[in-house]
Amino acid sequence: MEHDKLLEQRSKRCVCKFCGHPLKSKFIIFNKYGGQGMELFCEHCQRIEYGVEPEIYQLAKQFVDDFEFNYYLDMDENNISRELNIAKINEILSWAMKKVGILTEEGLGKI
Amino acid sequence: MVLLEMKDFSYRVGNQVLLKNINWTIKEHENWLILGLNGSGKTTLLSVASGYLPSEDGTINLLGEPLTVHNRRKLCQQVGLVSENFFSKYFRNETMNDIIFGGYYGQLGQLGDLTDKQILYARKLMRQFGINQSSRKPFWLLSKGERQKGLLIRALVHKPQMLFLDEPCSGLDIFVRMQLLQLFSHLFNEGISLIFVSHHFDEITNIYQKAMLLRQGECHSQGELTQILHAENLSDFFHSNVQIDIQKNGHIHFEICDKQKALVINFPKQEANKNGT
Ligand SMILES: [Zn+2]
Repeated sequence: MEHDKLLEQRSKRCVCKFCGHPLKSKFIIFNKYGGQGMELFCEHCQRIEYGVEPEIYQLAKQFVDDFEFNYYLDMDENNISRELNIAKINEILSWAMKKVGILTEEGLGKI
Repeated sequence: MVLLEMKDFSYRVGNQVLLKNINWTIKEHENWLILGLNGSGKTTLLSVASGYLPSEDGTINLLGEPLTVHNRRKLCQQVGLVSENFFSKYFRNETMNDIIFGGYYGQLGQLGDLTDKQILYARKLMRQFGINQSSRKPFWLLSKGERQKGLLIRALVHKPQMLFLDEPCSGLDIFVRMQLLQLFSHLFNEGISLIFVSHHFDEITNIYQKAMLLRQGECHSQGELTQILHAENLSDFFHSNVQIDIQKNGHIHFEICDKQKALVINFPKQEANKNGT
């Protein structure tokens, strides 16, 4: 799929893998003649963020909160470490779902 | 093959002219050294030449194609930009991991899913550079050295044809700096053309054949390194009488000969203590 189209679709569908807020597609680098290179951005975290499927985010959040999952044992337990843990589980779940063919560039399919 | 060609290129921000009438051609297997004082436009020059910053007046041909909004992303994926000055304007809360992964796409962020092979290769480089422990940290929390290494990995994840290095050794300890200088020689042997901006003559090794001196956004002089780094030319560039000696191994001895340009501080004389103590 063409990149700009893919990003446009992800901005409508995906959420930030750290905080779960919706993403925006926008130009970060621009000059007086216009923008260059569409990027996905989380306004809440103020970061360029590729995002994750919302269903996967909900599962990751539930896993981290319910099972008190902590991959980052060297960090203080706070919202930053919680978000990093959710992002980590998001990566693992997304990877696994892609491997079994449920997740594609178009999003989550039905099992 | 001509890798980069800039013709009558200028760049402005508001009324400020950052680059003026730059004409510059880089051929295959050429390594360039760019020298300039602070604020001379070096970072802007590299950011535009690598396709990261949109071009304005004049034309740029990159890797044999006119650089446009349509092919910019494709061309950016074939060159690498290592510039903490440039990227720190855009990266703040992004983690090192995400910044490095963005390198596969020739723009700031990731544009698509990565393959296992791509992730593993990036991780391997991070381990080699000793920054795997910093992968989850946001950019603003990283040390200058970690940023430099991360941005270098970002530029190297896809083997670039050209590598634009904007003061890549600043903020690094002496050991890592030596490691990087050796790495640059290795990259040159691998066929990558290097465009190296530095403030330090001791970072210049014998792999550079060409040089450009940049002053207040204008090219003062460019050409063969030995002609550009010549006492007469440098004296004109610095508005000061300088001496330079380039040794066979590439090491450079540089000296300012103008006594009146030497910075001397006359400390206020302390009054003698009346008690003589
Ligand atoms: Zn967020």
